[in-house]
Amino acid sequence: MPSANYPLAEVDRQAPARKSSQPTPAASAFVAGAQPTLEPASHTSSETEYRHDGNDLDLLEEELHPADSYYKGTYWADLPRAGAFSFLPSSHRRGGRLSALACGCRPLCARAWTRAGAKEGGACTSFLLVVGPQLTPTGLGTRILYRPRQVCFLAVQHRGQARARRPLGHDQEGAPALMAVIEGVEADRQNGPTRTQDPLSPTREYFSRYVVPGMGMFTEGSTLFSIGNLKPLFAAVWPTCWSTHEICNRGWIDSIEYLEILGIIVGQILVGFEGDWVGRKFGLVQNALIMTLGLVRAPSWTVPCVRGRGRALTV
Amino acid sequence: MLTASWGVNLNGWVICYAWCLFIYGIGVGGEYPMTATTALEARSGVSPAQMSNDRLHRGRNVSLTFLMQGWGQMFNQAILIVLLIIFHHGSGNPPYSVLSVQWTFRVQFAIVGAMTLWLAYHRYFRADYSMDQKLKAKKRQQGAVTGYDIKSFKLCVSHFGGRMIGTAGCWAAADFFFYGNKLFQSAFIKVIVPGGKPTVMDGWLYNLINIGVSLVGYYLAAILMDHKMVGRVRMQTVGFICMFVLFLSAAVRYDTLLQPANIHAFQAI
Repeated sequence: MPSANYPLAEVDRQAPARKSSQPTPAASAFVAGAQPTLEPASHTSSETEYRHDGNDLDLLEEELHPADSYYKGTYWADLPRAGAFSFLPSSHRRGGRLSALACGCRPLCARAWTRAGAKEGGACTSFLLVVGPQLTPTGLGTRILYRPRQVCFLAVQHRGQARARRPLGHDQEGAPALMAVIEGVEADRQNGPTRTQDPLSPTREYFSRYVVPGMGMFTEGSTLFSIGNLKPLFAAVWPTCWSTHEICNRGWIDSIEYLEILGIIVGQILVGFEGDWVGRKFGLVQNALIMTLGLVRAPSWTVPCVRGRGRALTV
Repeated sequence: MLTASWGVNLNGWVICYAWCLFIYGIGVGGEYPMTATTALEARSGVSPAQMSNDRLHRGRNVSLTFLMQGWGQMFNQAILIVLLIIFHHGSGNPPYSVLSVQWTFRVQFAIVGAMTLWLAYHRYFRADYSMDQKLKAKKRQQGAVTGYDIKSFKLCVSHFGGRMIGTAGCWAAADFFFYGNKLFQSAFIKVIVPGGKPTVMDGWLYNLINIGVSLVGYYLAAILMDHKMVGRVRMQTVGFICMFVLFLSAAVRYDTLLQPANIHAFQAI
């Protein structure tokens, strides 16, 4: 039963240039109960080699093969979050319970990695990976993506703890039915605290994660629904235009919403294609610019319209 | 453009307004798919920052990003109230002067415009587009296969057709409630405001409550969405049932609820 921290980077170093369609012999080292074929090495030795150096695409080859993200035809995110299923080949058939492990950190979600073609020799065809918050999702046995130092520990070490929290999958012999890597908290603990916990870090995290990407939605929600708020105000000030339609064409007043929605439809179709064909950046920047144009025109161009000749109100 | 629009009457202004919103709408329309995809793909790019992040909460990423729309509505409503009070000499009561209304809505647009401009800057210079890198690599790898052809379309429909129809149907059903509620909001508010003649400010304040409540819903959804015991389907079912019951009760007992004694119940709904 492996109990030491595995130098996971070692696994990948053995086959740095392998094509991901080929089986992964190194994977067998991580079958539950299988004998580890690798010597535990110091973490520092692998650190330099797998430092993240911008060669991203090569490292992410795995990501480009969606087949690896499927387990028996099910996308990993759609796998049952809890529930019995067996994921080892027949020679190692064990019923497993896919379950999020708790390792001092919040139980999150589990990801099963399957390796088609690794069945020979009873090698493990799948891994279960538990990813802690903000930590490296690492394809154990398939490819070590980066930061091997943080990938520290096997579920085996935490069986007691995990079992105490929830019934984790075991086979009849009580051996761990799944291999899991738990990252993060323990690694941080081992490495020692590097700096004082920033009390505002959750706020910052929230902003960078949700607010900034959602800023477009923010401005858009603000402007798009403003017409519903402004209409009663306009009606209160210019009743002859907005409520009794004496001097304004009713069709045009109604068409404000229709044109808005029409624009949305046009934009959805247009940028939907652009985002795929040209790129995300192009689409996103173009959106922001178009929205700015619309906004600049909404207040400035229409100012003189409202105020009449020579009585423009500049904003 | 500026000169051309000089001296046009109110009707002309309405037309300007409509076309400006059309242009704006194009941006908005682009925003929906792009925000959704970037939120979905967030942390699936190839930069270290993205790779070291939590990649297992797609639902929450997307919903919390879209939740900003709720905050945007709230912001808009709040800023309109504040601006109107500022420009209306500290009071929210009618009659409003043309000048104060002008300032109110223009400053409001200008603030959002500045934010949008910042957004353009941020997206151009600061944002992480390692996803594009990945897409390019994928294109290189796949060669001529783009996914934009009849065969992929057929596959897409046969595999995901049911799901797409289901999702879009749910969306449409929810929009009946949502936009029905929004469109007839003024009618509802007219009914529930004591005294019967709501001012603009009354309507806005009720709208603020409405948005605040819906924000709670957004957050609950975001929290529960990726929870393995709850999930999307169950949540949506419960939501639809709740809306059905509430709207139905409001419709069936509309006349009863209009009685002054019962008006608080209606306000709650």
